[in-house]
Amino acid sequence: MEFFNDPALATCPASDEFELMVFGPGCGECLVLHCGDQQWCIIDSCRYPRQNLPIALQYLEKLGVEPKTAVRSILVTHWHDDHIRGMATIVRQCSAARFNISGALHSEQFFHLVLEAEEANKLVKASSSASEFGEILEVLEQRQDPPPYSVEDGAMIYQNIQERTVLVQAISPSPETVRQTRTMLADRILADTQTRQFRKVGPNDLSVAVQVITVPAMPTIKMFGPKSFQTRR
Amino acid sequence: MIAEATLPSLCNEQDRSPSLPTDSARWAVSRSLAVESEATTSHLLEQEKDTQFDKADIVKVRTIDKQTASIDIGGSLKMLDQQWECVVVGRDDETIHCELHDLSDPDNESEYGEVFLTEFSEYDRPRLKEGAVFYWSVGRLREEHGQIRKFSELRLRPTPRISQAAQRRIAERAKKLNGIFQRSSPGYLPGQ
Repeated sequence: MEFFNDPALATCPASDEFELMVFGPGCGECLVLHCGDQQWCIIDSCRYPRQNLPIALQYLEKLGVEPKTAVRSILVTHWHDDHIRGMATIVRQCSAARFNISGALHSEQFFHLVLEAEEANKLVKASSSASEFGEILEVLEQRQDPPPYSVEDGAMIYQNIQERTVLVQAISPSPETVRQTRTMLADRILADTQTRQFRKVGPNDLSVAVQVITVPAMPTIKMFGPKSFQTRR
Repeated sequence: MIAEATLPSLCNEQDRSPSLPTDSARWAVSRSLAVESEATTSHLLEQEKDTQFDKADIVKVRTIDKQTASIDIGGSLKMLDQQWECVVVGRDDETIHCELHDLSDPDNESEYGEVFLTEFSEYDRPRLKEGAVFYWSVGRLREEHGQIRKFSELRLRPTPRISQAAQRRIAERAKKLNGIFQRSSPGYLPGQ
């Protein structure tokens, strides 16, 4: 990848540096955070055209970081196709990381819709992201620890316990949104099986928005993204 | 009679197929050339004068897969240039709104499109509800005598029936999966 040739981007941050990398063909389809002490978080996932490996893993590989142990938390903010491509590969490779999804999607009915869509995909060729989620569920079923979490407003996605320097906290979805979604999902399960679809579930108000707090402010922040977004401080 | 179909651009920024127009957000579709069947609505968009078939074109087109890229249909050869899986996300009186996923190259970004209901057969229209899936294929049809025409085809995907045994298995697995997810509450501090 062209931008990886920039030597500044190919340097692993020091233990006391916070780094936020923003990737994506649009803007922010994947965020990679270095939270200090060689601990990393990945938020959403994307793949660049003609690339098999998700961009987050490519970046960590370039830095010489071992995702299996270094990635501590993975978050899927919402289930839109452009934010989840390659997420199953990330979950599989980052075996020490806790997997987080929106609390609105933590319901038996939602999992039922996903598995149903995945089953349908086996019968006909389809590109539904249900297959990506189905693969993640398979990995999580086999993995006992750490258990996956569903997050709501106020929940901690990550906290650097040792240094107490970085905090990643969810500020949505609200408990009311979670309740409404579960009701909607239950209704959908009772709906016409010919057209009910997994992929339509997941409008933006179910998304997990996060705030990242660094206390005290860590010395270096690197940001990278599309040219229109690119900022360095 | 000319019907106008609002269809998305054939190619996005990352992908430009050399054999297709890239700025055809709105297509004028000649109904007089349309070939319709119960489950399929086809439009022959353009008749090319060049009857010399260049085999090198087959190599240039991006194929869906090796088996389906070109199909021999009774002496005519149907060559797919590009194909999308389209998921209906909404519907009004005249059009359906859909998300388009490029099957030719899954790396391409998903797009959004609107299609007139009249593009589909009367049999299919009631089935085009939210969640329904259809395929949009574009390519070229080389007729037996060598003439080449471009075609655009919409085909509704039959929704597969999932067996009762599979439904039971899914329900059990969904219940189990629901159990492995732990719910975090505000203020909870996960041990990292």
